[in-house]
Amino acid sequence: MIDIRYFLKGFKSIKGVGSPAIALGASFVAIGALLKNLGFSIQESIFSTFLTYALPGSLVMAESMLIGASLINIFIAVWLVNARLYPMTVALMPLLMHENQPRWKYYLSCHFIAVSSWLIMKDNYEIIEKENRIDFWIGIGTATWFVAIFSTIIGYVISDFLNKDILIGLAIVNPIYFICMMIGAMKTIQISFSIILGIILGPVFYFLSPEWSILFGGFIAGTIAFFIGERNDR
Amino acid sequence: MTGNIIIVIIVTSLATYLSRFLGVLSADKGIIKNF
Repeated sequence: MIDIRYFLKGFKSIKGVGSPAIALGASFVAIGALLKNLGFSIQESIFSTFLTYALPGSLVMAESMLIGASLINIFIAVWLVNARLYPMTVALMPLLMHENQPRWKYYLSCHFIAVSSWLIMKDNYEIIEKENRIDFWIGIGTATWFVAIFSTIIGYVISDFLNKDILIGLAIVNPIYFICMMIGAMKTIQISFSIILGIILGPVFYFLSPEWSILFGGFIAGTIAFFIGERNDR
Repeated sequence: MTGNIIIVIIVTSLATYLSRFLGVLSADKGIIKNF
C-alpha cells in the first residue's frame, strides 16, 4: 500500500511562500464563484473540482454550458483543452515508475496531474529514491487537490463579494505564475526559443485569427524551436 | 437542471482523465521512453 512517511513528506512539500499551490488556490476561488453564478449548488461545485481538477477544463465546461453546447461538444472541447496533460503525464511517469510498485497507483494518481503538482514534483523528485517517488507524488497530489477543493468552497461562499474584475484577476494568477515558471526554466535553446517565439507569435496570430491564435502561435513557435534545437545539437 | 449538471461534470471529468490515462499508458508501455 502507500508508505505514509513519503505520503506525508509529499503532502507537506506544498508549503512555502513560493509554492504553486497559492496560485492554484487563487484560481479555484474564481472557479467556485463562477460555478455559483452558473447555478451550481455547493455540492455540485465541490463534485466538479473533485472529479475534474483542471482549471482550463472547468472554465471550458462553464463556458460551454453558458452557450448551451451539447455533451459531445463539451467532451471534445474539454479533451482538446486538456490535451496538454498527456505530454505532462508522459514526461512525469517514467520518473515515478518502479517495478516494486503496483500499477493501480499510477493509473489512479494520474488524476493529480496538473501544472502546480507537476512543478512541485519536478522540483523535488531527485531527493526521493525512485521506489518511493509514487507515494511522495500521491502526497503532493492529494495536498494540491485539497487546496483546489477547499478554494472552490471559499470562492462559492464569498462569490457575492467578488466582482467581475476580481474574478478575472484571480483566474489569471495561475497562468501568470506559469509564465514566470517557464521564464525561470529557460535553460536550453529549445525552451528559450519556444517561449520567446510563443510570446511574439501569439499576439501576431491574434490579428489574423483570434480564435486560433494560441494554437497556431504555440504550434509554430514550438516547431521552430524544436528544429533550431536539433540543428544546434548536431 | 441538477441531473444535467451532474452529467456535464462527469463528461468533463472523463474528457480530462482521458489525457492523463493515455499518458500513463504510453509511459507504462514504453511507447515514449522519456520526453
